[in-house]
Amino acid sequence: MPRFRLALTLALSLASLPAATETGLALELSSGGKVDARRDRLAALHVPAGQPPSVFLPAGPFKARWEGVLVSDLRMEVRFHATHNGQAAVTLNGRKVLEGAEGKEVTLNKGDNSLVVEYASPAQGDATFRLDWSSRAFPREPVPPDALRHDPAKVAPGMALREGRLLFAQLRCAQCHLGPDKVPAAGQGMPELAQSAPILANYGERMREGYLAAWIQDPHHFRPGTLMPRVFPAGKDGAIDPRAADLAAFLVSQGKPAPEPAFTPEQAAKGAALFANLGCLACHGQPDAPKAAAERLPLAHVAAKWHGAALVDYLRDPAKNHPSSRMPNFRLSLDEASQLAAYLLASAKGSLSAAPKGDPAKGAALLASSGCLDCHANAPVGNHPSLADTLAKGWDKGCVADGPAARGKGLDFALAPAQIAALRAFSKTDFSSLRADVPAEFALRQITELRCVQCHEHDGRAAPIVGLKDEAAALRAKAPAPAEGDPIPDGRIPPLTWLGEKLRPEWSAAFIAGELADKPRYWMTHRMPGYAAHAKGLAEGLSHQHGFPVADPQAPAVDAEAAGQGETLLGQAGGFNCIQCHPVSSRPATGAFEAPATNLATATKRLREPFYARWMLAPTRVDPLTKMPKYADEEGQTQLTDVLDGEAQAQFKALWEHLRTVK
Amino acid sequence: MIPPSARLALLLLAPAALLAQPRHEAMDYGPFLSATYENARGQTTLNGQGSVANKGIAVRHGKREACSLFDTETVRMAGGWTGGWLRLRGVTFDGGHGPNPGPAQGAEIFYETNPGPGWSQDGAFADPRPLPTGGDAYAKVPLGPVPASVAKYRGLYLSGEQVVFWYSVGQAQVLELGAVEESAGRKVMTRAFEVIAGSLDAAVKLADLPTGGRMELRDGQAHIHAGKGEQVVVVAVPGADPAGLVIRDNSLSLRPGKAATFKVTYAKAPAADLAAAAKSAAGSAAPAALTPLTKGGPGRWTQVVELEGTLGEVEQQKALERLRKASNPNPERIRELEAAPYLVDTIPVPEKNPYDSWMRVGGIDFLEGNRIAFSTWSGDVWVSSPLDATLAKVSWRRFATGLFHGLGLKVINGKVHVLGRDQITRLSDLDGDGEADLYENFNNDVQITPNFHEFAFDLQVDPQGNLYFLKGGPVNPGGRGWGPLSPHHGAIFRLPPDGSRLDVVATGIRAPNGMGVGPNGEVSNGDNQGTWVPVDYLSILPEPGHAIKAPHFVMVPDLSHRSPAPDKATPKPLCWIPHDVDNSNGGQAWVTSDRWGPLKGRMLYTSYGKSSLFLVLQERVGDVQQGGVVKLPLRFGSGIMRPRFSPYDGQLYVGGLKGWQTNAARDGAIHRVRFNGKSVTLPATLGVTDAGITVGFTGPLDPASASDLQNYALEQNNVRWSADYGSPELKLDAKDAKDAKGHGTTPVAIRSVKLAPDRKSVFLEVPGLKPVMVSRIKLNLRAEDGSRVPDEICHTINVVPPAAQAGRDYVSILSPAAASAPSEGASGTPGWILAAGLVVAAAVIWRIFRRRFGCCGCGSCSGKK
Repeated sequence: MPRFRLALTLALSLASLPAATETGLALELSSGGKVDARRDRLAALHVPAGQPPSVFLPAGPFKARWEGVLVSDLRMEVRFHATHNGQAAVTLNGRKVLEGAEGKEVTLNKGDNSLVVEYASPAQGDATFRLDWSSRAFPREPVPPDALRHDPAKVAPGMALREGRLLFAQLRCAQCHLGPDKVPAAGQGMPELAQSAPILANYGERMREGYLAAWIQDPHHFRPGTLMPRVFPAGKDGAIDPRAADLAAFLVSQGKPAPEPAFTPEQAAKGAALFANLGCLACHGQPDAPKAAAERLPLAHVAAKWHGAALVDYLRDPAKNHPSSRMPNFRLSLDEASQLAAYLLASAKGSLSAAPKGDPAKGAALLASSGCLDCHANAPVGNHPSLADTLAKGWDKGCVADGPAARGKGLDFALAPAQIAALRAFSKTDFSSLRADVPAEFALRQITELRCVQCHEHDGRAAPIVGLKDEAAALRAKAPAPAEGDPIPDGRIPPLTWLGEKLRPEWSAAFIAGELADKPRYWMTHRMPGYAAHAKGLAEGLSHQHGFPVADPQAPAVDAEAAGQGETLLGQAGGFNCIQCHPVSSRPATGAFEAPATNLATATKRLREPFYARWMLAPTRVDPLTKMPKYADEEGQTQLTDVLDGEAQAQFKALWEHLRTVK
Repeated sequence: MIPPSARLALLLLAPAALLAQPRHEAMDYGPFLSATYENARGQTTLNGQGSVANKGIAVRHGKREACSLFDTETVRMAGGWTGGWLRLRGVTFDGGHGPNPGPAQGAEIFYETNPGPGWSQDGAFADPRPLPTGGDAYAKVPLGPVPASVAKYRGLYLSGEQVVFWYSVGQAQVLELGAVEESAGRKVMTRAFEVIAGSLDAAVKLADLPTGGRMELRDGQAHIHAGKGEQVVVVAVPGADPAGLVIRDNSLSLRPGKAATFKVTYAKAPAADLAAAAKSAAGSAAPAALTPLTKGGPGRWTQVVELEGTLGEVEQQKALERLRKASNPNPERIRELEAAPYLVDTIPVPEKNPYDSWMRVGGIDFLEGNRIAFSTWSGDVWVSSPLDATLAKVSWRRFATGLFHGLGLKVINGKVHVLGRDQITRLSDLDGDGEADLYENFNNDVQITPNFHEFAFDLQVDPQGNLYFLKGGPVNPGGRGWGPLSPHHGAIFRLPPDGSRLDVVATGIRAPNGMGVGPNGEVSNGDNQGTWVPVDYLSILPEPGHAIKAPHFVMVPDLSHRSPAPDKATPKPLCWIPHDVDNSNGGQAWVTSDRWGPLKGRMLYTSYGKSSLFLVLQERVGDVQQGGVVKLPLRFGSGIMRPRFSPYDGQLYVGGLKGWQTNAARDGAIHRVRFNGKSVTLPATLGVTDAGITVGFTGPLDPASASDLQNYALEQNNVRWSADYGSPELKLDAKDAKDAKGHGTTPVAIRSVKLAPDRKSVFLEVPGLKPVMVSRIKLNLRAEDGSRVPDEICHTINVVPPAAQAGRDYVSILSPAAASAPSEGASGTPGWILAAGLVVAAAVIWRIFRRRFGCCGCGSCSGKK
């Protein structure tokens, strides 16, 4: 998504901005005599043995140095804690406040406090680091991203390299410009290198000729930020090049559309409600929106593009003809997909420029000669300069030219100047970073790429979907009102901020992939869609971002005595009455409002124990809007003074032990 | 306290006990249970006929073997059945959101009567109650009691296990006793009557056919073939003239004539055994006078539960030991604990008791000798032995049972008055045996529906003796929107001292949990987040003497179904309270004691959701109230919601319970918050002008910390008042809640801080301060003695007077100077004289100013609108 990254790239390039304006910290990494810098969300990392700490650095012992400011709203006393397996130090306002694991109490000034966190990995093996803090007002917790700021100028070069590297992979430069010495074979190194363009099959069953011609002519007009380049030059007043029409004619000659389904207005009304309820509107503007809203992909031409039955099929399995598609799988039923299709087709009124009559035979020839198959069939047939040749000449002409004049035979990817600069910066590297993969960085990229933050609050940034409630309500208005017990719209989507610490990676990978039959928050109409192609890397990377390995340490056998106490603590009599809001296995919650909480039978499979422990002590520190009560006071005591001496941590541990026994 | 060994045993047994019998089943509710009842078909008054009742009293016969269900609103026996007592479902029982109790599963229904008057007027049983008006959102059935001119429920007498209902019919006073007897080898259900005064001119409803069927008169008896007619019920009327039996429109009634005592007997048998049923119906015991049952009787709850209280010093020592043993001992926290001026004593409630009564404390007050009386959500009242300073022995005795949610309790003229969802009940111990024998209906005019959430809360009395309570709206089980409405939903009520009337004095409350009445009659209430309540708030009604206009605050129903729509202007309560500070507030109390440190005259409020006590900082600008809250650093054992000062020891007592959406972990608790004479440094007043905010403290501050601007921060946000469930925090420049980027709070710069010469107030310079719904002053301050001052004041700025007018046009309720003067209790200095003097002076200045300038506020609350 070149254009969606524009803002970030621009921000990074503006080195004259005042210091400490961006959330998170500047992370400088050094190993093997090389240095690299990038933005980091937290002062935390996990680097498995044998892996490099950065894609631009070699594997081996390394040093990490996070720098930035810690923002405090007033003067307050805190204490830092570090969990790590190397050497660590924390310097606050120029004073060393932690060496080793436990710091002394220090006073934060109101406003910015300069913060430097240093970590040296062990000589071999996994490297792990996490920085926590605590105060009288809150128990020990990771220092949160939204309390951290850094100067983006410090990491701008490193971030530009990453931007260029990602563009190189996503724009599939190496498909045409072969460079086997620099670019690893498919399936190795940077995951995005393995992304593919849509499969050019059965277009006649799926799409309409007029749209395909117009799309091929000017893809950026229909979808700002698309990776598809403009192949043929722009015609006068939007006129379509006959070659685009020929290609379209050839494509639609492959297969015949199924009969058009007879969608009903009732289906369309339900589809409009689904569009709101599932959360489609977070990423897509409404088909009849007069102007595509920023950051929401337009759908005005859906009807011009799709045959009805094929649209239903596509909605049910978006990856079928495009395994790398970012469009996730919502596991729609046939009814749901039909309703959505009915709504989309009935309300998309986008018109097209008239295309000249295409010639399928000419189109078939063009398919190879104009380079389509380079990307769409992974079969480079064009006569393109090799990667080495382009590098030798320098990246200021062809596809990465500053404008049409210098582009020559190069393709028009509609690159922004900052993107061109990023590509050029990357071209100066040795490309070895393409052979490397750092999951933490992959996850950081994918959060943006997959647009997770359209729905999930992240690092203190509200999710745009919460601002679309009125739009959603209007979409629902024509559909039948939900009955008592139906899923609830506008439920609170869990924040993403702590996911890497909160969820066990094996569970989150399956969940993100859409492989779990049970939805933890089944009462919400919003549906977490499946991102099968990205799930494993996301789960692993998020875990590493928070300083956790993918595999948790082997848990000891269940403490039976504690589990017995935990069973009491779970209940109404003598316990915290967890069962009032939480279902446990097949037993429903006894008195939940609005909707039950998550089923506790899955808690120990879903959650990491350290996260559970801090969540229980102070839930609103994790999510200020949670309904979960805080049972422990500032002294770590609960009201149940006759169980385990009222010690909150011991009681919560007992609950955990009991939950481990629940099937 | 329970010895440790027993505790361990209880602990180990608890899960097994849970499996054995749910506690709502295990509890002995006494001879009767008041509730809203469904019929055997799961229908309510909103959609069903037969034995449905909004205010039912289910009399238990034998050991839960049979039931007579009396409806106090319609003064009718709504039904009678054998084969079990009740199916105990619903919010106080199994916690379910929605259902109400009804006949036990498999009950043998002997008779049912449809909702409507139980006694005729002018020869007919027509329901004289009007339907609620106001639109589609309102209930489509009549609500509230039938007019007293038809019949009026007066109360009930207990004699042993027998329950005698007392009511008037026209001018006559009647007693009625439902019972089960053995007659001719068969169980029969009976209703015995005695006319104790006046002449009875009306007919009594005996049965309807809510499930169809037929009925006929034969040989001076009535035969009822309900439903498919497989069974027959034969009705006989010993002591009355059988000619008084009438069947009209499938409804059986009896005009008893002149008999002073008479009975109605229902005998049930298979249709083929009609003769046997007739014999049993005719053969029951002769009617007898019921008056002897109105003098009290043998006690039911004779066992005393003896416990030992815990003084705050014990908990304090435990906490200190923990702190000293910690790996990083925090000397400041230790010093702070040692210097704590308020300690929390625990008055242990009888959690373990012979009746398995569920100790969820819903109301507390004091009887002569500092004995506590408390009511429970499950309908009990318990009374303690006199409480002394040591709490070495606290004995409890069960005083009353069967009330419909005891969520408010007030002792008036030595008698316990309990607020139930159905009525205010005045309890009398007629024979002096320590148990109530007379449960009088002090007032039951309040309208209710079967909704599970429309609780009635609290019970307060003003200096003139008027009573107050409040009632929530019928929140749907999901939490959003409302069930069918009554004009009494979401209202504050006032009753004159004799209880003869029920007036709505304010409306628009969603889901409150408590209120307060101040020493000058100030009426306050809290409310909790949901539809049309963006976050919790605390509100004070216009000062006494002003005409209170309804709606005072917001109207409960959302705009989508109320016509006309409520005023769209965002209301201006005393204070909006952010969700993380309090998610569910309780009742309020005003410090009336001279023996509770320097806080006399101030308001306190409880948080049920956070099990916490807050001090309220008040300010008044024109007619507009504003202020804030400060959480006191005290720990409580449950969701406290009923604060009251004891007139006997001058200390604060709080009671509360664990329901839902609370961090309470104990079923219920009662605590004494005791002042120990140590110095108190709390923020206590706020003064807002367009130049900044003056915060007054009750004691001197440490000048080094108080003069340091870095120890202060100000953060503000608004919330959106809408039909949404709650509101996100909105930055000051957010256009509306649609703007996701506008979610959050806005830091507001404090330009300077100035500490007053007496070090008891600070002025935070914030030029251009503007009205805002939520303003949080964050503090990192120490008192002169080194202890910490609470770290946050959450307040609301409704109006900002110009700084030039400060001192003339606004009043911090008690000025900082008055507040910081040492009180009598603290040091022997008569501080209250100074305080009172300043209050009077302030009031005089205020009145002069108001006469000259009128209200300088928004105008919406001043009566000038």
